[in-house]
Amino acid sequence: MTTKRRGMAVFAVLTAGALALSACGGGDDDSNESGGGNTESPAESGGDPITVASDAEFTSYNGNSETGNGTWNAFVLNGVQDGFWDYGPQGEIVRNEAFGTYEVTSEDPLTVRYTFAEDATWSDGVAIDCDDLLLEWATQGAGYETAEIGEDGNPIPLFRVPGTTGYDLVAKPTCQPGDKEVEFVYSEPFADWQQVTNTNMLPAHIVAEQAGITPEDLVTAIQNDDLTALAPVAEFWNTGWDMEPGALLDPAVLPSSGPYVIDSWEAGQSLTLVANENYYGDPPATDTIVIRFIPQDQQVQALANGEVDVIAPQVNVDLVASLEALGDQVTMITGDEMTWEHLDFNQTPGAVMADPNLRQAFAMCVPRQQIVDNLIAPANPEAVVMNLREFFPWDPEYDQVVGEAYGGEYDEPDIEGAAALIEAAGATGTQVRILRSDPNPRRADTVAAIKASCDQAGFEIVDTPTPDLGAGITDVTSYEVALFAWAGSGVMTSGASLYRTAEGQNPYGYSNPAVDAAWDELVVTTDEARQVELLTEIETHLWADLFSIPLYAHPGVTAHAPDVTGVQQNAAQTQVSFNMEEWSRS
Amino acid sequence: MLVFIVRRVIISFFILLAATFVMYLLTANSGNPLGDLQESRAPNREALIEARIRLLNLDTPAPLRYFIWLKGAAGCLVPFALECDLGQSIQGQDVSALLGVAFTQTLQLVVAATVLAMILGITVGIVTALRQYSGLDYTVTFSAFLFFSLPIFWVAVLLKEYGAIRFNDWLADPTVPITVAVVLGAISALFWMIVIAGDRNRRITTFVAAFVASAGALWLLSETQWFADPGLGVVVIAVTAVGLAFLTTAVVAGFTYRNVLYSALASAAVGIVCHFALGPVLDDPSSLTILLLALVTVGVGVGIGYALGGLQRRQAIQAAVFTGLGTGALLFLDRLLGAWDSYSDRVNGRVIATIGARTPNFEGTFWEEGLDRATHLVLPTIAIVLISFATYTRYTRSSMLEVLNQDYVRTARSKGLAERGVIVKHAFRNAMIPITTLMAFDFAGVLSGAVITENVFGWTGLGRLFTDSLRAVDPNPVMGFFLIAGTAAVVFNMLADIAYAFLDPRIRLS
Repeated sequence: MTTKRRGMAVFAVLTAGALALSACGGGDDDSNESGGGNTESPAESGGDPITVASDAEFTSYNGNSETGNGTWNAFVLNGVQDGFWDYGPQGEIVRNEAFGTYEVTSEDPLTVRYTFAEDATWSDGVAIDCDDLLLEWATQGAGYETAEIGEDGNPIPLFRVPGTTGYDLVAKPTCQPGDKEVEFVYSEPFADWQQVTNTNMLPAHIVAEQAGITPEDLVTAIQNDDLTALAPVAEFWNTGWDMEPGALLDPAVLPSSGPYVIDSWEAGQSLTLVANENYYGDPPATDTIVIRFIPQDQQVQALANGEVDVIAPQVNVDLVASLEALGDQVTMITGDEMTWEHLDFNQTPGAVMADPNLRQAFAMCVPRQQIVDNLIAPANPEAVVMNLREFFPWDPEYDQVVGEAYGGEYDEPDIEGAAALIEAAGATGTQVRILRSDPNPRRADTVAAIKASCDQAGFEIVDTPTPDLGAGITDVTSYEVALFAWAGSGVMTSGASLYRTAEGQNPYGYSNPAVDAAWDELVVTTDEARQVELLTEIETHLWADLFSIPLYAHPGVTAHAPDVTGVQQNAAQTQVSFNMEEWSRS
Repeated sequence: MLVFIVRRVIISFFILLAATFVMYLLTANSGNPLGDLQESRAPNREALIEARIRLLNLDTPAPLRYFIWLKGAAGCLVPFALECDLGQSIQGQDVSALLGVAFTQTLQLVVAATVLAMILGITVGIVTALRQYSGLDYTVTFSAFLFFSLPIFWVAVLLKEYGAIRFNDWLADPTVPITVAVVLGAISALFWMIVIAGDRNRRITTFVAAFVASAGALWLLSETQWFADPGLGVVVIAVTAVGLAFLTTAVVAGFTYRNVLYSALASAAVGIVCHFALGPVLDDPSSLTILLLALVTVGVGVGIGYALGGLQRRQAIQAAVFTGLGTGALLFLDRLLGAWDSYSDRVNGRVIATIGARTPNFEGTFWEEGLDRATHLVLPTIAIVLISFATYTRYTRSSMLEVLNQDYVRTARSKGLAERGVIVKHAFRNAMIPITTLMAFDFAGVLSGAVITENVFGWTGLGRLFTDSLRAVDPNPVMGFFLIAGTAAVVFNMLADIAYAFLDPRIRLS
């Protein structure tokens, strides 16, 4: 054994010595380096690529189809396809003048003239024109149906689109192939007329080519409602642009109308966009944008290690803390999301909250300011209590509408006042079940805060978590108050189905003829001043009736490497990549 | 045997069938697949919900929906006659395509790590068994249990923080402060002292020698800026290759007959010569070149062993081949490190990666691309090895100890067999029999991915596919995953049983 041990001691020393000797070996390969350095791409005007994290893989070039309609595709297509307008960082409508312009030419019937910019072309050189808009109308406004009957008994639509709101009011536009101007004539006024056309317009000439016809034939087929000729068109449009992971279609099929074209895609890893050389607008500030697919909870460390430059994960307090811990290694932008939390009352006949006095008592004991201070302010120091349902605190009309619609009576909890109301109604000790989704720590904390306050006033708050919130809300016997969030869309008329009597998203039994009438008018009102008036009226009623209690807008966080400029926090659903063409590296 | 296999296959088929049914119901009822849309206020909300219901057949009750899935999946059993349709994901993608991508990623990530864990674990297990109740044994036992009980998501996050982010920060100015060199030197000295053991004097000598060597080496490496541009150099390669020759000889044949040692040394010498001779070939080779070189190495090894082996021809060939391959690996590592400098420049000094399988759009020489893969693999591999290390060391150790106490080992010793022969030939082979089961299970586990590791390190493998789909209440990808994982478990169990019967003649199947 002794010899063996001595042997090992020698080996130990040898190993350490070897390490030391290898120090001399380090420098021996300098001569090889030039070989590797040569492969480096030459520095371009647009600078180094900027890498942004997305948490889900790309699946389709057609973000307007049933299967392609998803945030994961919008994230990429933001840079690849343009339209007449897009949402700005606060959900406002931003016109895209480089692409084209539009204006109302007649109020009755509502007529909108769309004019494509003369120099607007697809990256393959084909002009962007009326053909493309006509195809969009055909897919969404024409209501073409196949001969087949679906399981629900209705004919299956020819083009499988996720919704036709607004477009179904537009008469068939008349235009010749290649026209740069076209008019939309509405059968009735429509409040959200600006948002009718898609933000991502698709290339009609590609669809025609893939269906084996010429673009002129395509226009003719639509003009003649020729369903036989349109069948192959629909077949390609519905799924032809969908791709399996990493299997990028022929670039000729994926032209760009935006600042970037899709260059390459490595399944599960990344997708690369490069500048569109034929872009008619201002060229993008950075030539290459790399979109890396990274799970949200891993994005902060990837940013810290320089593997991505821009991240916008969903917020929680830990996330903000870990970003703050990185100090000046990253730049953090806090702000809001257009998703807002609220408490809805179940007012169906016989329900506890059918009694307006109890609704008022509940509203009086909910500590709204405290909830915002404790749960939201750590992630967004600017966060405020939301006092409206149809406007966000950053909207320009917000202050004016709040002033008229809401008296400030529920700003701070009034336990004694609430207790008096509860006692007067003889409802002391009444159980109030607050329905919320599960798991969701922030909502659990919210309910705990309400319980701490409202139990003092005489309610007995019961936290009622459910994994299936959708089914839970429809079952009006299972709760008194529902706590959840709506993801705001920026579309004004979408609120109609929430507050009108017996609408699909109003299972609470709420009914106010004045609110119904105001909504009915709003849907067909295009005058913006009148729209605000009507919304003020609606909000006033909703506060007076205590339909619901708005709480706060969800906080949002965007973080980026300090040397990247132009990144903005985006409150709308269009995600951080919405202005990728403005990002640059200083 | 055939009867056994057929019976097992039939039984396994029905087990899998029942399991898929249960799994489908569990997934379908695990949440609300429309949850995200129901909170949306988009004007086309109803249409979106309608579309998803149609895509995933949500209007059919889950138990019946299972049969829709089964009908498509049944096509996969008859490869060419029927269409294999595993359904679509909630994003409308074909599950078979998703599985293909995820499967390749998982294989890349987990195979190397699992093999590494096996080799390390078994080696350490045997050494601790041979040195039972020594300081080394206790240290390994302690650390194995420590690693085993660490939560992997935590280890992984720590690895990313210190192994990647802080390490890369340090690489910007890679100097080792004297105090750190002293502390690390002391730790290394303690390690060697425990490993080598012996009486008091020997311990002190070992400690001092190891301390001076390690701390000194660190200091020297730091002073020469080795960490900024690492490499092995011909001296290290030569010394290590010769050491390797002695080591393989010791394991394969012992030093009684010199022929074996000579062929191993000759093999090492050829390797060292190749370091110079192969220069141009290795500047930017293809994977095929490397594979060919490995084959040539084996061929040369066989030749050397055959020529020099004499009566110990078989052992000589083994020693020469292993030494040759080991030296080849050293040359490979040297070249890989040679690319470090240029690679580091191209990734802005952030050498070790925390996420993904490679740097997007990275193109370079074979060595740069290899280094890119390696720097992405290193952390997840460490995480996986740390966790599975414990099982292998503990199983191997106990199995080895059990065998060493068997009568036939005592008999072998009393016949006067050399200790090396007793351990390598009589004890080790028999101790490996129970380990095969463990290996089979582990490989089955490999195919189901490393759920947490994949998530933390951003690999879109099978485990990630599984968790993501489960979160979205999306049964089809979950079922695709389950088919692979379930089949692997069943098949590898069967293979383990067959291997058992093959390795241990006392066991009869059927």
